[in-house]
Amino acid sequence: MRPLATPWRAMTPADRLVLLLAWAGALASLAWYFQAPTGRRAEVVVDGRVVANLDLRQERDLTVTGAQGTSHIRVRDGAVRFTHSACRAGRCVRSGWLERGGQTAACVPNQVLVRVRGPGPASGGRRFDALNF
Amino acid sequence: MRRCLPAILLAAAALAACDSEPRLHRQQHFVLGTVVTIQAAGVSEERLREGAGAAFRTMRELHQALDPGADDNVLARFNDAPPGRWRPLPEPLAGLLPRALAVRRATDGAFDPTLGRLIGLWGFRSPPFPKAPPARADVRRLVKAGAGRGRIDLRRTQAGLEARMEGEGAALDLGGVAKGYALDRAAAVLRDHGITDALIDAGGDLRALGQRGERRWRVGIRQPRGESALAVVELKPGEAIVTSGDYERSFHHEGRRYHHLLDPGTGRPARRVRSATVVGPRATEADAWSTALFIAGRDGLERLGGWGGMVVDRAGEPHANGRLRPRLQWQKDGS
Repeated sequence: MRPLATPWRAMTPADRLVLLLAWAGALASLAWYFQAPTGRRAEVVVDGRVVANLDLRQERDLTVTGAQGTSHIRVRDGAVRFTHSACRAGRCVRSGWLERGGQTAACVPNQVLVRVRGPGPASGGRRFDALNF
Repeated sequence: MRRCLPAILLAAAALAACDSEPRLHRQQHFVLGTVVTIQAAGVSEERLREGAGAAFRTMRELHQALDPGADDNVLARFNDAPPGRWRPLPEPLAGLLPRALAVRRATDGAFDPTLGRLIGLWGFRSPPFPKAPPARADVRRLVKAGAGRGRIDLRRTQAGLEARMEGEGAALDLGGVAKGYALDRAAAVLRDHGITDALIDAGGDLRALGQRGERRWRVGIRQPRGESALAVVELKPGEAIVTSGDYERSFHHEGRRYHHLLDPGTGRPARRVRSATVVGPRATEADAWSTALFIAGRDGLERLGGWGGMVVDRAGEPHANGRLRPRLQWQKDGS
């Protein structure tokens, strides 16, 4: 059997092409994996019902009515956020811009949730799957 | 063909490295007064939708039965009975109360499920929270009347489990354990629907099922004074992680933070630590132990037995016990 210690020299040009293509594909996959994908669309959910499907490439300001009043949602530059909501804590507004697949912000008192569609963990591209608090 | 073998082997190895990321699906719902997220690996979206729907229904039923703010539910009917009288324990109280009392005994009362009237007096049942604490005399009066020290006896009769609670100031409030119980019940429902690899996140309290493809579920533990992660821990299959912190259900008055984690001994917010985290095999007990650990502070770490625990003290310094410390991956940048 031919030794494997010097495989490159043992290969034909076709072998080398196959190998290079395979490694290029693998490296491209890894690059794609480590760069969390940016979501293209987001959903607005009120009391469990999807009330709006937002294209994050189009600027938009949206007002929805939840359990306690209105929530204001803004789309700019491929991202979406709460700008105001009928709650006192304001955690939804402090969540800031959401742009990666899987990112979510919610106004619990008003039962309004915004989530970016697409792959990615619920924690939004961080090094863990969820945050304990 | 033999000359192609090295290239084929190397190419196969390279491509295999790309196949480690599982397909995840996610379902979310408003329940238990928060957003519950269930993400699962290795199942179809349709199966997760069915399983998660059943789990959400179970959680909603538990919330309706145990919501301390409701006028007429299982908990309210129990609390409305005169002190000292035996009363039947319907589900879910029959399944939950004995476990809550076991943690109460094990923690010498640091976790106490009879603080209901005090929590109501402080106004921490549901937002909006008050802008000022109650009068000290009112707090003292309730503590003296048995709030936080209410005696509860259990007995089993032919009709089932019965309980007797004494102390005019005592009222059951299972807020310190009910969310964990709901997580455990939801996990059982998911398993019944054939979902074996999932992470259930009930507003920051979590229970893992199986793992996330080739690796375990990874959970960040939040900084008490920020939104980023202090450390990351990988959950073993079936494990739960629960944190009690002074940043939830709280308000500020004259520069001081007042929060919902009341010390049963004083009837006032405990101030030994900023947060307490417990990791272990059941969310129900992890929930109750995290409350007890928050009340007890750093000294409570040594009493956790087989449970992993961590507190962040008032200076912001984390301290973990020997069970949890080797598993923590500290996060410098918090992301």
